[in-house]
Amino acid sequence: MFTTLVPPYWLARAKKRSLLILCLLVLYSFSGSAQTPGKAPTASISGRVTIDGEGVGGITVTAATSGSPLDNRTVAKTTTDDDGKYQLNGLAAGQFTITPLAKAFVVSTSGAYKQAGQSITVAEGETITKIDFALVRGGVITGRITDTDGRPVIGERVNVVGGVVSDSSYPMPVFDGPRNRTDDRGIYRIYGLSPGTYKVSIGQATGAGNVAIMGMGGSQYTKTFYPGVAEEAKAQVLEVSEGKEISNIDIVARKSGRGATVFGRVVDADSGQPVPNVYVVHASLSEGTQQLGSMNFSGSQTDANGKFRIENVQPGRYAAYTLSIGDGTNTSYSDQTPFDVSDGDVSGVEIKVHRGATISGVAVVENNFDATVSSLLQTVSLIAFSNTKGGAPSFSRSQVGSDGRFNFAGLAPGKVQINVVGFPTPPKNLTLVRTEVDGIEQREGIEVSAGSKITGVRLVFAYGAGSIRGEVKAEGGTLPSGLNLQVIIRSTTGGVRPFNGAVDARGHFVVENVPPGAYEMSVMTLGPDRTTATYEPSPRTVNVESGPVQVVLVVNFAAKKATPE
Amino acid sequence: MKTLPPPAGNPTLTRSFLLVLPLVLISGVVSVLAQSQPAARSTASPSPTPVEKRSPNETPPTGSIKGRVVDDDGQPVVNATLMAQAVNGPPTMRPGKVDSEGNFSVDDLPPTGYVVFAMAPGYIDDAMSTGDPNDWPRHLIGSQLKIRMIKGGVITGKVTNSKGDPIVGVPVHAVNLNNPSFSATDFLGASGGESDDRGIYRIYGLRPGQYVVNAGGPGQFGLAASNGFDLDVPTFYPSATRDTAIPVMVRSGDETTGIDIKYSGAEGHRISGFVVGGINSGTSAMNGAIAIMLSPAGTQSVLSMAIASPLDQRRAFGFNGIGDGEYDLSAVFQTGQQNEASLVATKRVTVRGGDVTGVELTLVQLAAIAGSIVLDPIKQEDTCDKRGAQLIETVFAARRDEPKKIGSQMMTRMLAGFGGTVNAKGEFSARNLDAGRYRFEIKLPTDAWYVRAINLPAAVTIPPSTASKPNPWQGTVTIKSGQQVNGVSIVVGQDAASLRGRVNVTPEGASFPADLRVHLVPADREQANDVLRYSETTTMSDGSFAFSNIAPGRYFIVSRVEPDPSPRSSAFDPTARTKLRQEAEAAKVVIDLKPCQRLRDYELRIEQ
Repeated sequence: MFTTLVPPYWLARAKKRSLLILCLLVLYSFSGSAQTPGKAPTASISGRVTIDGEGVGGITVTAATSGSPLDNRTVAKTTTDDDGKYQLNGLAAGQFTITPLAKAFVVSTSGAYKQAGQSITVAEGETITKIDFALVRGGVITGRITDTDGRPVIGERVNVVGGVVSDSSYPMPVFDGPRNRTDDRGIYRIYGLSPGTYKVSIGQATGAGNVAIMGMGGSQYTKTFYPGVAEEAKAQVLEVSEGKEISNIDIVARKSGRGATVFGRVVDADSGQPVPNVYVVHASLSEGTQQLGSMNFSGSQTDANGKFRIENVQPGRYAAYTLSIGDGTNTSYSDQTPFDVSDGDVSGVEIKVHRGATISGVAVVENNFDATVSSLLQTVSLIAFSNTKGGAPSFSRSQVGSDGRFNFAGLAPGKVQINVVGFPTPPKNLTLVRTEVDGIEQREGIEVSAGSKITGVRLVFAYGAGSIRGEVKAEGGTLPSGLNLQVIIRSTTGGVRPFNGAVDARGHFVVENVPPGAYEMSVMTLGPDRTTATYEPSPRTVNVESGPVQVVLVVNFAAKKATPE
Repeated sequence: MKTLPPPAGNPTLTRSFLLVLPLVLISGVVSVLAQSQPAARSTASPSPTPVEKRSPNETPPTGSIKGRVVDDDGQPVVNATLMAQAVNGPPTMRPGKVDSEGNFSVDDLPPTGYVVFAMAPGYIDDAMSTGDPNDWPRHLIGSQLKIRMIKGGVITGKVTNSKGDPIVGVPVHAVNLNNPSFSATDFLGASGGESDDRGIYRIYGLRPGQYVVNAGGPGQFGLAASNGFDLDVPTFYPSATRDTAIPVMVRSGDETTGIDIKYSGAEGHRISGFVVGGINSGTSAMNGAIAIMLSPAGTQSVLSMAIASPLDQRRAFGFNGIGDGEYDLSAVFQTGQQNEASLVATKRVTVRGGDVTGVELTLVQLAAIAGSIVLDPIKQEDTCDKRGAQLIETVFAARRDEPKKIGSQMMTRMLAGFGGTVNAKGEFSARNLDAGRYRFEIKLPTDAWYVRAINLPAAVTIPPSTASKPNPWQGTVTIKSGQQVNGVSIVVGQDAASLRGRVNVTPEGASFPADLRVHLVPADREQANDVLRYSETTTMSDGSFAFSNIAPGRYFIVSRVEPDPSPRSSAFDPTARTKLRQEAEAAKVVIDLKPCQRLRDYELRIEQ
């Protein structure tokens, strides 16, 4: 989803690197892991890479950090020997993705296919064996995209989605990157496809999470499925088998109309005065759910009289709202004003800007009163965000001052969540465990009404160097396949937000930076259709002090806990 | 345990954060834009109130920039998109509408200078041929443009290992040797490609020029997602290091084939270190980020980039996949706030057979020049500006007046953006400057105006004056590292004259000299050292020439053959100025330009 956030290259020309810094800054806010200094790491992972049961030599195998979705640096690599065997040495404790570098191939596990790469949780000094990969050559879909005049459509994204996925969810394209863009001849070639059925399409997408900045990231063409149909139901389903190449999947792209010009005005809700020099963005608005979909930032900005215009808006239902910088100097939020575009220009879209709520308080470390520990709070970067139906999403950022205080402003009414941003990397061992207002925990966020000034918020951090390392075992059998497993750890004394750890294919997991205390453990499964189920393992509880604790969790996957939290 | 995503079992939290994420991202874009713009709260010193031509409440009329986007053959460019970005004033960037005939219009633009970009996949905007935003043409509202886009070139080939097997999915980059700072990134993705399942790559949309092509290596962002090749030393075409790479020639619209790379896959070394110094612990400073860039020594080509936070106590950085050689490391810190100067650091490091660790980059503040453009008071009936030009339409840039040096040049060029900005009150600023000598480039929006005087604050070094009175503007100002020069005043007269004419060669039929330049030299001895009174222009092939924005007064007019004129005016150099003046006095051709005079058909005779 994040790969759609392409930086606008026109801007890139002027301020290329600084722009990218900011994009990366945001993306990088997901990274949390930090390296532990100390003695040289000694863990190793070995296995074998095969094709049709035969070992393959000369394949590069890499280990990349996978502790966070966007921090996957390669940390080690090796090459398979003539028998297909490899061994990666010198690994630290942590989570890694082990990948044979054979991008035209996929991995076959008892009839199911997936992209090569396996997440492994490694303990300090551990020797892990039999991480094997049985490769089969993936399929290829190739073709050419031309416009109605027969000219090549250059740099266009070609989406390949699984043929059986219904259109009710957001179908994620199989790949997103250079391999599904057309070249200067309009040709695309998508390789490394798992055997299965696929639909191929080009053109505008409206799903949430898509962002078009100055037209980049979007498309100038209408959504068209192979072999040239608008409705997904009529799309031809392509059957891809091992190593098969399906060619001539050509699509004629029809350009979207010129689109309407939308005129409007931004005014202050209290004074009625125009608001100059603010950016206006628009997002597609779902008829039923009233949820915002793909967002467009076209550079539209209000003039001295608060007036704005948005060019090239395609027919559809949208909501317009203003963009805040969220840097603490901003004190307002905007309405989300709906408008419809059918076949003409639209005028009179009025966006009201309201004075937002403020939230202030102190951040404390509850279980450690050492001055050096509390000074770590000053290296924490906080974000508060609220998202309410009918109101534009708003956010505000703050640091913790030397007196422990923080301030957020310009927040829309609704439930406000406060979280720690991952850039810079938050101090290890310091975890935000609770948000309190007047001593009461706000598990679902702080309820904020229009323009209210909320003071006395306490952000409670816990300091802890404990960790829980363990293995999940299925009672009398193997772990369920095709499901993601998570171990969730909750403080039995309450008041601490749950911790979670991903379970790898071997059943291993690790949860780090846990404050001392007694915890209750549960195991959650997440299916491909996003359904979850929670199970009670045996044992259920664990005590954490300041070091690592080893556990083996036995789960009866036949007995599902009735009410997941 | 990760800070984000939040604990499982609370999917709403994840979802609402995803909705906010694009906003956070775009706000980053906007704050970058805001930063490149001038001072809403300017640091300029108090100055005489500029003369208002309009009542203060009246909004200046907006206008359009129109034109046509065509390719080499004059055909409309399909898929072109267009953007106008204001050089001055509040951050303004407007998308244009391009119709199927290639005609475009950007409407409702406040009056000021604009840089207009055209973009189309596979094509490049001919006018943006240099990476220096200072060189990009500015247009005022009401302009009619023709934007020519040329079809980019293509480099294609195959990446294989030593056994000839294809290397699949390896990133391949082309670095333009002629203009490496912006390489070929006209179209996102154009500078790079990726090999497919047959090992074939194809990079398109390349500006004509010489390129080195490499596969693998650290990639543009040291911290970005791993692709499996990021620990490797990049392999340059055909099977080489950067030093021994064979350049590839790319011509407009042509395809250069067979650029096959034998991929070595050798593991590279690591460069790591810390950024120190310079950052105050203000809140805004703490919101910023430090970018660390790695370039081959002496070039402006970024191999890889990393970021660090000022809040991070260690401010550590690192790059993998580095081959033996010399590199320039540069760090830049931006607060993201308007008007706050950036800090930079540079250091050269040498990698020879091992890792380089503990590199310390010490941030220092960059210099800035700021002040006001002040209109000389004039009676309403005396003005010869009928349109009502606005101060914000003036284009101001401080440009380095000496040969370019390496070092922080790459970054300052990038940070300086358009080289300077002017707001509606005439307050101007040029930020993020290296120490050095600068000249001012001032483009006035109307023929009626001329630069009458430039006054520097007493604190600024200018060549010592022999007389007791302050030295007049000598054409350049020298600033020290980190110096913040405020209170420069640029006085603009409102009754400028202009002159059009033609050089006639006698005897009739004699050949017209090439490289002929015409100079205006102040006839009044008192103005002999006032560089602003000197003007020069080139002649067209028919001998015609034109001067505008000239102070009224008496001038010598003289022509000279100058095959290789300096980019700066001859008047800037005292020796050249004295020589020019002697020639002008000897030629004894005097012209008297009256206020607002539009002198046409002037004839300047020269003997061949």
